[in-house]
Amino acid sequence: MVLVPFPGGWRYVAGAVIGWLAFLGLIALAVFGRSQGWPAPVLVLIALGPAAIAARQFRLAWRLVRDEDEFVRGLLARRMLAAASGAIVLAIAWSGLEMVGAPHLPAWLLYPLVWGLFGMVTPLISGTARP
Amino acid sequence: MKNRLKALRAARGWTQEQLGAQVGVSRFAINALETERHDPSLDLAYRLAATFELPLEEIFSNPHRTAGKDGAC
Repeated sequence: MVLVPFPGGWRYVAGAVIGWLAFLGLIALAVFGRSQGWPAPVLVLIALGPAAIAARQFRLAWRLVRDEDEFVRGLLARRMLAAASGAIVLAIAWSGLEMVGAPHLPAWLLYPLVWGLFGMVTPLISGTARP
Repeated sequence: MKNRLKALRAARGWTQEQLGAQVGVSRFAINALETERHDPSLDLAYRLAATFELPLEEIFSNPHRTAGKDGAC
């Protein structure tokens, strides 16, 4: 499998890696800051950072889809739709389970779940033709 | 969608990248067309027909025609 199967994809992947590192770094910083008793305004800013990074990443994905040719556009859209659908279904299912005693999970896990599912569906969705 | 793209491209000695550049798509799109993983838009199909200077149905099989009356595929 080609890691970056579209023109300009390397820029997208590089941006995604940087975004991921910042996302995880801010999560860790928020946990650390809270344990150290940092001021609330600082903690709030740090806590909102991962959402901003996720928004940036989805904007990059949108631009990638917009700028590629019709095949890559269709392929990425299908994969993203499958990943987002799976993540939403799993989140709803877990939310239901929490109501009957399952342990609470932080909502930010939804973001790595979407991209994890995107990686899982990538080898399964390799075309845009109707079966 | 069944097609003769690979044979037509090979007959002209073009790579997938060269054909893609002529019709304005990536080599991945050409590969997907050749392996029937992508059904082209009408615009792309016409661009390919113009590039090969052939009627559309000389390149792409028309799945809506009855058997025996199809194009060359």
